[in-house]
Amino acid sequence: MTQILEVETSTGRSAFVLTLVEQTTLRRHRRVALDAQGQPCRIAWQTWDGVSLLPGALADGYEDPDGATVPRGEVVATDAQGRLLRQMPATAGRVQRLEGPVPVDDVLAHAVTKVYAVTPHHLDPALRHSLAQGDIYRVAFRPRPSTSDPPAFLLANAHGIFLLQAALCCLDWLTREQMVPMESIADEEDDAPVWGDWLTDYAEMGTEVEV
Amino acid sequence: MIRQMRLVDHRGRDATLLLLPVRVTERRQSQTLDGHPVRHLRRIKATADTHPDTLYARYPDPDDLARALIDGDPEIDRQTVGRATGPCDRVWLDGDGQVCYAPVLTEIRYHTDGTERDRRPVGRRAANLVPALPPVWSGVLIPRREIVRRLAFSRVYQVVHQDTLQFDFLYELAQYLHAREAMVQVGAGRQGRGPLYCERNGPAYRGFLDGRINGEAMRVVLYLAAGELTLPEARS
Repeated sequence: MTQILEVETSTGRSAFVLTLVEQTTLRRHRRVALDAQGQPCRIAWQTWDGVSLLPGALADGYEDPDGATVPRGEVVATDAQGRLLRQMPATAGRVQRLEGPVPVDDVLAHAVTKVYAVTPHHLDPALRHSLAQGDIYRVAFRPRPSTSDPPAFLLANAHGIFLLQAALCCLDWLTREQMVPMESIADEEDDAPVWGDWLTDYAEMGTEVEV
Repeated sequence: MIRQMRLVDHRGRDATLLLLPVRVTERRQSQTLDGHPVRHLRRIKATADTHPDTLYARYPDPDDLARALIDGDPEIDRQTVGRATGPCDRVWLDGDGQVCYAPVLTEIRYHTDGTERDRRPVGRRAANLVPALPPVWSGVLIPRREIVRRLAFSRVYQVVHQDTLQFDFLYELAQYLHAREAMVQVGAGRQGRGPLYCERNGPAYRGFLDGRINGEAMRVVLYLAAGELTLPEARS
């Protein structure tokens, strides 16, 4: 799906058309599951009592401890400490301020979750020159309203301009005495779909169904 | 799951170390406006038999579908609609909508213009982070500033030590990379540049190690990239 990103710097404004770069585009192959007749299988969820559920067949909802349904409009998100999280608007149609150039360490402190190919609709000459020099900029990019604000990085290479949506990583300095106990590592593996995993080719339903 | 990786340094020494996932996951809760906790759950709207796709297939003629909807309510399964899903398993459904217990995984390869090139069965590929033989120092050092503009690192692990010998190994490796302000490629094969597979039959990654030191402290990070930042037209 194509999206628009408008940014401004001290020298002017730029507008970009963003196209999501599918992992199959980068790797030029994907995996499918075929049934005995050679037809592609569809992914589904099966409940404990054998009911098969196709994508789009589920509705999200909330209930209180007594089991009563709570309307979505009355539910707010909080962090782990119970602090309210502010819902931030989508960035589409709103001019965003570019931060930077940012140091390369800023990019390396994140893991890429999505890659967008950027087609300049209007590109400020100063920004064009800066990107060509290898500078990297940080910008807010939320395709839809969200309580989280993962950063995105705008950069260019010989093949074009790209926007990398990223997730923060927590990197620690380790000392000789600071050994990481095995217990602290167990169950810490990130369950979120990783951009680049072939398994996510099948993740048509988007998120896991949990109890 | 705790991952391990066998690494080699610039002096040819190797060690098997732990890989700590470092991606920050936001832990969120939900509550009502007046502060009462609520629980998220998913309810069933339609089963595979009452799903719109199934109905379209069963009644290709729109008039027939409309008549069936009015007469028999085939879009509603009164026993399940509105029910919470409970724990679920992920399954494959074949063309007839039945559970396919033994699907054949096939790899479809594409031309640079996006058209299909060929299909081939997926072979069994073992994870290779801990090879039986010591890995090879690739010697491929790429400046950080250059590598972040070439590859999209979708997986990041911090390499951690379990004893002081491993710390010394990592510290010297970090010192070496820190001094050169570069990342070194790590991988399988005789040249140490081959693809890395974190899981059996998983995707192939290109791996790079970054190392920093800060006084007596060090940080070695493994970055994995599934693809280069290129476009199909650029490749062709």
